[in-house]
Amino acid sequence: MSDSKRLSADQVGAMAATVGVTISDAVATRIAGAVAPTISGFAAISEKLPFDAEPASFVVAQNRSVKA
Amino acid sequence: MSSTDPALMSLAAVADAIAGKKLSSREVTQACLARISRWQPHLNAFIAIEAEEALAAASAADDALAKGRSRGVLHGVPLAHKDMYYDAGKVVTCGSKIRRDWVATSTATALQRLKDAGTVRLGSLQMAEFAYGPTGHNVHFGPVHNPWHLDHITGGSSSGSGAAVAARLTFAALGSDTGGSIRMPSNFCGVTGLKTTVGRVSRAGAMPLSHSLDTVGPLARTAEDCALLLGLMAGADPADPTCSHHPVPDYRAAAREPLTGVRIGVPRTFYVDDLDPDVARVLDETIATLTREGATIHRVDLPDQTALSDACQIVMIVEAAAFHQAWMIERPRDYGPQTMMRLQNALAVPALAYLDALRWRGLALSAHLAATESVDAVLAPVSPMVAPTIAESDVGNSPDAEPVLRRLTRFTRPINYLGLPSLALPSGFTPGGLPVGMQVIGRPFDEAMLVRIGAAFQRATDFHARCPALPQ
Repeated sequence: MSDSKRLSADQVGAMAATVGVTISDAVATRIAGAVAPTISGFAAISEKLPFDAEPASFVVAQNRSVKA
Repeated sequence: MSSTDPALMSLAAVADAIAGKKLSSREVTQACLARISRWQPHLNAFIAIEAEEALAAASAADDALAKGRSRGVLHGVPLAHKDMYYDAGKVVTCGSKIRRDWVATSTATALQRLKDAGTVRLGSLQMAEFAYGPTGHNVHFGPVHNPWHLDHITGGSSSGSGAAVAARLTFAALGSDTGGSIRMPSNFCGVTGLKTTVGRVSRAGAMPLSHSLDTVGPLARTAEDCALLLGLMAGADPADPTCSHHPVPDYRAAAREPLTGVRIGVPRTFYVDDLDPDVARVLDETIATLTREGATIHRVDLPDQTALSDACQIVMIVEAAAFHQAWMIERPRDYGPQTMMRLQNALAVPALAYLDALRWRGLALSAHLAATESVDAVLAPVSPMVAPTIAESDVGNSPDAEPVLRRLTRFTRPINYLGLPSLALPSGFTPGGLPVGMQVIGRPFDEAMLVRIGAAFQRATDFHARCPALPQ
C-alpha cells in the first residue's frame, strides 16, 4: 500500500463504525499507524498475485508435498 | 524433592512405570501435587488445581489396573493443559475475564483422545488472554513466571504449559500455536514443544484464535514424549473437517531412528540476522552437535520471510477480530488493554488484503518447499532474543507494544503462515541460566522427521533433562 493508499484515522473510524465497534479518534490514529507497515509490506505480494490463485491452493500444496 | 521423585520422570517413563505397577497413579499424582503446592506461589502457572478430584481419579485408575483394565498407554498419568481446551462440565476461562465462569458443554477432540488413553486431570494451566499474546503477561490472572528466573517471562501464549512442564508439575501439557504460542514458551522455559502441521490435529473444542492458523500440540520434556502424545492425538476427526485424513505414522518409532543421513538446512539470512550473542552461540553449538550425530548441514536460501510474517499477521488479526466482534461491541472493558489493542488493529485491514493473504498461502508454501527441496528439515532459532524480564516486556497497549511483540515472534510467524510443523528444542543456556531454544522446521505432515532429529539431539545433550531449582 503506497502512502496515498494509507488509511486515515477518519477512514479507520468509519470502518470500525460499519461493524459496530466504537473507537476514539486517538485509537483510530493508533490503529492506522500500527497496521500500515503490515499492509504496505504485503502490498507488493498482493499486487502480483496470479488471477486464479485461491485459498484452497494451500491444501493442494500441502498434499502435493506429502505425495512427493 | 528427592532424586527418586516420580514427578521428575519423562512422560513415557512414568507411563511405563504405572503400567508395570512399579508406581501407582496415586503416588505419581501425589508427587505432582506436592510440587505444584511448592511451585505455584512462585510461578502462577495454574488457573485451577483440582487436587481432590485428581487423587480420586488416580485411585480409580489404580483400582482398574489392579483388575487388569488399562484404559490406554497413558493410564493413570496426571496431566494439566492450557485452559482453552473445552472439557465438558469444567470451567474453561481461556485466560479471560469474559469466560472466567464459562462451563464447557463438550470436550475437545485432542483432550478426549488423551483422556481415552487414560490420563488424569490435575487442573488447568494459565495462558495469555484468549491465547493472544507472546509474552506470558495476563492482566486478569497475573503474569506467569519463568521457573529458571522468576523475573523473566515464560513466553506465551501457552505460558502456564511452559512453566509447569519446566518445573515438573505436569509431565506434559497441551498448548496451541497460532503465531508461536507453543514454541515461545518452550524456548524460554527450556522444554520441548511441537507445533503441528495445520490439519494434523483436530481443532474441535479448542478455543479458536485464527481458524486458518491455529494448531494444537504438546509441550513436554522430551521429543519422544511429544511423539507419544502426537500419536494419540493426530488423525481425522468428523468434528473438524479441516483435519487431515493423512495416515498417522508411528512417531515413537521415528524418534528411535539415528540422525545418520539426515540433511538439515540452515538459512543464510533472516533467521541468522540480529541474534542475541547467546542465541547465535547456541545455534552454532547445535549445528556442531547435529553434525557429530551424523546429520549433514546445508545452507539454504529461503524466500522473503518478512512477507510471510506480514501475511500471517493479516490473517491472524482479522480472524481473531471476527471471533471477538460481538464481545468487542458488548464488553470492550472486559478485555485487557493489549488484547483489545490487537483486536482493534483488524479494523483497519481491508477485506481484500485478508483474502489476498489467504490466496498467496499455497504459492508461498510451494516456494518454500522448492527452496528446501534438498533438505529434510530446517534449523533456526525460535526467537532472536533470550527471555526478557516481565517488567521490560510489560508493554500493555503502549506505542512500544507492537515492536516488542514483533521482535519476539519474528522467527515463528512465518512458519505459522506456511502451516509447517516445527519442534522447539532446549538447546543451551545463557551464562545467567536462562534457556535458549532452537526450532527444527519440517515439511507438511512430516512431524516424524522432527521427532527423529529432536530425539537424536536429546540423546547427545542434556539441556532437556535439566530442572530448575525451587526458589528459596
